[in-house]
Amino acid sequence: MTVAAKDLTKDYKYGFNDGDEFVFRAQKGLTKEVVADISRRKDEPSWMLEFRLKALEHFQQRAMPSWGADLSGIDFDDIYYYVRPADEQGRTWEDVPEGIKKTFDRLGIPEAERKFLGGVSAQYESEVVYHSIRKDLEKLGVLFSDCDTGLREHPEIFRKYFGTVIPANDNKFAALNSAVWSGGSFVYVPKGVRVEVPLQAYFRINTESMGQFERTLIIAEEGSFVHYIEGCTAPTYSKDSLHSAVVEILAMPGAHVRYTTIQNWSNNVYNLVTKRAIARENSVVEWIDGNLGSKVTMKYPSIYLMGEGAHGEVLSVAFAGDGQHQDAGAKVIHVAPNTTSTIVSKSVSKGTGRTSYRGHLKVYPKAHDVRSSVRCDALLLDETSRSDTYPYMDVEAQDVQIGHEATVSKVGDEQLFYLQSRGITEQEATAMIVNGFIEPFVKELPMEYALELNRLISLQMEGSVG
Amino acid sequence: MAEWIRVCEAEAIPKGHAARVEVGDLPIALFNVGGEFHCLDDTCSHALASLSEGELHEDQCTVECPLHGSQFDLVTGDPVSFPAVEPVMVHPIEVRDGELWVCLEGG
Amino acid sequence: MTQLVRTTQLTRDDAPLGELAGGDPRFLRALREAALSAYREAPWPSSSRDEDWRRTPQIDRLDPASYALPPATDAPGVQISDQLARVLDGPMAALGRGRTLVTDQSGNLAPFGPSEDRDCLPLMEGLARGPEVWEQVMGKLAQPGLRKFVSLNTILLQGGAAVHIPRGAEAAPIRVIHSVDQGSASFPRTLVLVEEGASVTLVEEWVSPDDDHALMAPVVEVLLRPGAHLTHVVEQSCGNQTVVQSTIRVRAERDARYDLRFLLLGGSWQKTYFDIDMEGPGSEAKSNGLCIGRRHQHFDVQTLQDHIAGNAVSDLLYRVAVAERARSVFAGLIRVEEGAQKTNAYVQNRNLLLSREAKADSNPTLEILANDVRCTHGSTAGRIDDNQLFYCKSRGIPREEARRLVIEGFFADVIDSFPEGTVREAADSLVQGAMEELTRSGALAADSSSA
Repeated sequence: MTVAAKDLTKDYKYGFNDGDEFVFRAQKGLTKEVVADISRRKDEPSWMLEFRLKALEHFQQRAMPSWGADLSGIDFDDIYYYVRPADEQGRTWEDVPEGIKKTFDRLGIPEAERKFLGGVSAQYESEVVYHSIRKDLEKLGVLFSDCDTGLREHPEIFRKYFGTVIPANDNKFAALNSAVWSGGSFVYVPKGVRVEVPLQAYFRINTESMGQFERTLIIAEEGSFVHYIEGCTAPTYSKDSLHSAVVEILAMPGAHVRYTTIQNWSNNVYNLVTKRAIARENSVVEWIDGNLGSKVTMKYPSIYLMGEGAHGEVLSVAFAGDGQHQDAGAKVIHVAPNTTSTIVSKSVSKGTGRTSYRGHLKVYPKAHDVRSSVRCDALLLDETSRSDTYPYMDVEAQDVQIGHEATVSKVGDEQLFYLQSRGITEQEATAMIVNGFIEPFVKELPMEYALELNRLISLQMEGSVG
Repeated sequence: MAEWIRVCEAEAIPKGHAARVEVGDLPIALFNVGGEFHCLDDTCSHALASLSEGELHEDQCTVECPLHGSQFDLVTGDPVSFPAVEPVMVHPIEVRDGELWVCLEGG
Repeated sequence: MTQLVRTTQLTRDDAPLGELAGGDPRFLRALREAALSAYREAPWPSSSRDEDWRRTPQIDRLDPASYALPPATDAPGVQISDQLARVLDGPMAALGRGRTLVTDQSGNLAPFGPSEDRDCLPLMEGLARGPEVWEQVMGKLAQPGLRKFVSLNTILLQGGAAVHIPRGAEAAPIRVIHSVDQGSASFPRTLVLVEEGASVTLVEEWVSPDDDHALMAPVVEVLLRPGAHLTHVVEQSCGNQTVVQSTIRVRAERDARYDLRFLLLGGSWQKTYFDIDMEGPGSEAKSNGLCIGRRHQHFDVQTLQDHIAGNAVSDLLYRVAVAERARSVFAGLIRVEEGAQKTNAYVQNRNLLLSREAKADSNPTLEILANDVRCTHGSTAGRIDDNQLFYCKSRGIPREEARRLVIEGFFADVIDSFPEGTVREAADSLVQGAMEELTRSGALAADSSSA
């Protein structure tokens, strides 16, 4: 036989020496130089630079996904991948759309926060709150900072886990994030520690922490508990049209991690996220995922149940208004026996909005005695609204009980009639019904978020928000 | 029934190189890591990509699948990174008189 | 003048143009040519590239050239093999030979027994008698370029059945038996046109002997005029080396009703498409089917319920039991087009896994573009419920028998939905036969559960 051998080693030649003085200019587009400069400015160790450069290659070589939402509107060359020129920073209060301002009013958002969420100010002074929480955490040995700091101050832990859950070449957008990531959170919870107060990204607000290429890494050691919350219900303006975040979670044996996201990005944003958790023996991982904003979101939080007795849960809500497409779902992979999972997805489409549930439930042959249930419900409010459901079930083990159910319908006439006959307007009635519909999700949120979300839904029903 | 099959000249696969060979219905991948030869099933256990098209990490003796980045140990076939969770079959490989011979199970 | 088709091997990229022994009507000729272009242009399906074939890698190894095309003859006669005799004289014989069409030596369908009926004819005769009628149906529902095997069927078809039920008629049941021989491929085409307000039951059986390397690629096109009603029973019990590639396309006009009942029991591996277009308001489609898989069998079923008009109802219930190393793949799409308000659509796929190595992939999907609808789908996969087994055990029923009882209970709803009388009895006996085989092979004994 004649064989054609291929050279599989890839040596990295950066094209410039470490000692070179490199003057960075804020520029659009993505090149090796931009990536190298990000790493240099952050003063990263060489392994991270190499990781970024390899990731860049993967990103450049990979084709765009052939499935999912329409991403043809993304112009990769028209994006600032790191720093924006100074004169591009500002946006005045006048630029903020009326509808958004009204929402802030109705949600009772404080002044300082409004400026930040509206894209007018780059900073939100929540230092006070953050500081007091930090002291408590330090006492417990909990590490909570942004990823840049994590890499710098805890390199051994960071390097041990970073990129192990989602390799740089996992998909095109994970590769992009791996090349240009900045900001995001680093959380480490030692053995047996329970962090009772939810950790919120909000505490460390600055433009970077709500940046376009956030990278979050959460490690929960044996028997620990932590609840992490990112995002907020209020409409959040982002100048950046491409958001590509990566979240990696490692739940060690007996650990319990809950990760709550509520995103309400402005409708110029393409929000493409890769989120994956590894759940070891007897651990619990919960993704509570709320998608309210953005022009297009593609996000499928996933859980690999690697150890016996592990349990995974994904509870998601998607709301698509005019022109929006929420393409979200969940992936649960049962690798170990005696594992369980639950997926509940609730989506609402209004106007020309479109929600798509895309899920993958896989049970490997050795994963016997698995129980899993998936439930997807979609509400279509208007004639022009659209909903799709694409669940995949790959069951290769015998002793399992797998169930999946999906329904699509509109708001029931009888329900509406009943409420209206009690003097409630159609809009208010619809809002009540929609709020009831998403109740399983809302009841898992901390109180303030729950209240805000309910109020926001009411506003959406009135059509007074953009 | 295990069978030893002559695959090719050892020289055909220089250091740091890999080749894909089909033996009947089964595609296998041959790797040369610093002079040591390894043989695995070519198909990644995660999503059916070809491992012989991937990236060789000689220092760790692993190959990285080109489709999603899963790495496999060339000695044991075990996955050492996600998203792959199942091992790939490893086949004994020997150099006999400058030729590569691989041992495959069954017909 | 008769023109004989050259018996040439076909390939993945090309095929010899077929022709009916009596000559093609012009529209069929055009269809064949369009199909040949499409066949040549379309790549062979690939499990790594095509979503439809992702879980059926057998397609990558299927070589159409390994099958011989049956010899054409201008004097077809029905020569009954032993197997066909058994089928003909089996439980369904009660339907009568008068309205039975059987595949003959040349691959055509011929009437078996004397018949006065004009509503159920061999394809050749049907096309010859009324080409303008069939031109409205043939190639209109299953377009020549729809998919690779539809193209192939269009190019190579030599026979089939033309079932035309006139306005208002309540026709007696019709039986069509498709078979294929050792080493051969067959491409029967069944055309069904049920006129306004008419009704009929059509039973289609796909059979072939064991140990025969064979390919059966039927295409069925059904057009139901307003108020028409077709009860369509499809039973696949082919031999263990037969590959089945089939497409059934149905269009239901206003107030029409389509009842599909199907059994998938035989063959080595198959891919079947059931596509139903709800084209008229008030139309209704109800499909119930079951599948029993054992050894290395592979069943890939893909369904489409396309609600083009509003106020229509479609319902699919598909139950599967897979044992030993068998695998079931199911993809069912409910699509509701814009404006198709007041749609009610359901899909339910339930899978019983009877062994460690058995696999069930279930992929029901929804694409909904109208809002005043009610669409649901559900899917389950698992082993036999412990509670049910315990119930049997507590009544002194031994484990193997208990498992069999539970499986029969699992299929009961589907069998009970078959038309009462001969047809239901015949279906039940086919299923019993499959269960017998399962029991004999020990597939029901080996079980890892504690019950």
